[in-house]
Amino acid sequence: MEFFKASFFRSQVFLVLFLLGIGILGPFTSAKAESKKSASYSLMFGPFRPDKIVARGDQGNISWRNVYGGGNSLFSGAEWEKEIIQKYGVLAVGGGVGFIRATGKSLKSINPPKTSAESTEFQIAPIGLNLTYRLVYFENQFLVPYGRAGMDIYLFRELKEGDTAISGYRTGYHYAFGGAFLLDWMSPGSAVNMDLEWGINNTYLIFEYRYSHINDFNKKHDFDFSTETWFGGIMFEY
Amino acid sequence: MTGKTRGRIITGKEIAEMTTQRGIKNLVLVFSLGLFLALLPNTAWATLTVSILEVSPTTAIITSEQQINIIWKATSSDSSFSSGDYRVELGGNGTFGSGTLLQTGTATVDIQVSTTLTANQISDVNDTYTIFIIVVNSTDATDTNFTAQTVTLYNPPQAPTNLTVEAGDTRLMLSWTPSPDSNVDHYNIYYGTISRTDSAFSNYYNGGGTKDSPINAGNVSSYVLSGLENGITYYVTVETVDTQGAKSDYSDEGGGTPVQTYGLGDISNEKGGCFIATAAFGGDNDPRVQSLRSFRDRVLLSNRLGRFWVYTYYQISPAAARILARSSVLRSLVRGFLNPVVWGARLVIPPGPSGRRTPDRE
Repeated sequence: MEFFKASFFRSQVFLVLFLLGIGILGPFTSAKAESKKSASYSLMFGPFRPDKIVARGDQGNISWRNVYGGGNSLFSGAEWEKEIIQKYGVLAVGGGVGFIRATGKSLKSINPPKTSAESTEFQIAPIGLNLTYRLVYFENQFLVPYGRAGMDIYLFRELKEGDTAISGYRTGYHYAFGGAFLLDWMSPGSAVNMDLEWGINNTYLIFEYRYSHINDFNKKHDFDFSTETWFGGIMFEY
Repeated sequence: MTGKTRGRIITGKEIAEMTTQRGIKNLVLVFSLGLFLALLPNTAWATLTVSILEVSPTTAIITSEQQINIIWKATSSDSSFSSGDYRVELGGNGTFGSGTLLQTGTATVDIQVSTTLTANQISDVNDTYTIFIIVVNSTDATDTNFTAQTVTLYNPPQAPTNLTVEAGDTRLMLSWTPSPDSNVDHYNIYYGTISRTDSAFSNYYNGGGTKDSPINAGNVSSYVLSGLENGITYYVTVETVDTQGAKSDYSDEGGGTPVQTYGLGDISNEKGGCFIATAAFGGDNDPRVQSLRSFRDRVLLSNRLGRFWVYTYYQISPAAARILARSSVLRSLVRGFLNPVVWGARLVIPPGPSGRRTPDRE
């Protein structure tokens, strides 16, 4: 519960800062003629560590850290969104896929945990549907705050020395707040060329805070992929 | 006489002189002919010919017992020649006794002779060697002939070193330092449950195979030997095979005992365990549960119908297990039903090397 409260607080702070940001930075942007925008795709990367995963057995419990260490794994994701409403901001629906891979060593003893020489690998493939609202009020607005929520299914499998030991899926939801920083002002000429040649209107650098609640909607599974994380990436609006 | 009266009369002295000159001429002629014949090459006299019909192989591995088979034959235009001594010599110039004797015997004219040499009989140095087969007519020692054949000897690849064997769950993880040879084709892996240092050792059986059916690991420096039985010690060795098919000696032997290991999925409630049996028998470590687990892994999961059954079971068994957990009466009933199932399962589970039909757990 404390974790949830802390993450909620952080997400609120993040949201307020970006709402302020739109007011401060928006007016400094300049307008330029552009082709019609209708969708966006983005590539995002961030750390991932599902600390809530604890395998509970008769002989004791094993946490994620016991097998895969305390470090973060890379969460790579790609998302596409269709802008369905472009009045009073932008409302978009879309979906995304991602991939996470962690490697470790299986345990030859649970209590106390002793590592064996056998390599293990945990692979997660999150697939999600999103509804996103972007606070866009100016043409070529420098900073675009956004909020996002959606449903997820996380496909997972664990391999021992390359052999699949377990596989399954987990469902859940996520919400996120982020900011997209327009990069076009850095090279307006290039931005115009990208629009002419590729139809890409805007290129953004994005940062996002995301809380994912992936435990089959609060079922008591050992594999609870719920976590909060940050993403960085790039978004192309076209 | 009239004619004679016209010429002069040849005197006896003149006749004697003429006779002497002719004799000398004849003598010179005979001597020259003899000298010519004497200076003719020896082979012009020889009636014996030695020829090679077949050689296999022409390259062989040093230090090995690899055989080189040479089939040859002596023929003669002299019908009086029927047999002769022969020598197989290494090096020399083809004259009897000029090289190192490898083999000797008697050859019969027009009869094929099969001469078998072993690589390590020829030399232990990587090089190309000339083998001479020399035959001498037994009735005329001047009637001799030879034939020559080159064979190439090369060193076998070196065995891999620093073999390490680490234990996993029903598997051993092997790694080794590769052979320094540049023409390595692949590595062979042999394993068994008896160390070659043990007097009872006969060969590495490779899980039911024989010494001659090793596992081709490819040109790698590590390999996972899977499908083993936990709790059994396996001994492993590796050999190098080069592109010509030559094999090295075995590497040093390594050994390891596979043990149950635990990833997150192995003990979590995510993995399809024997939910009902576990609930009925009171725990995952119960031998009956382990028998059913072995039955699942070794029998059911080996075929499509079995996998479908396992999948279906996992869809319904968690809910059933939760009900069982709340009722001791139900657990007793299920135990009564499952006991014959366990006995039957034990009968059909293929035993491992130890003869056991259940996996070992640490």
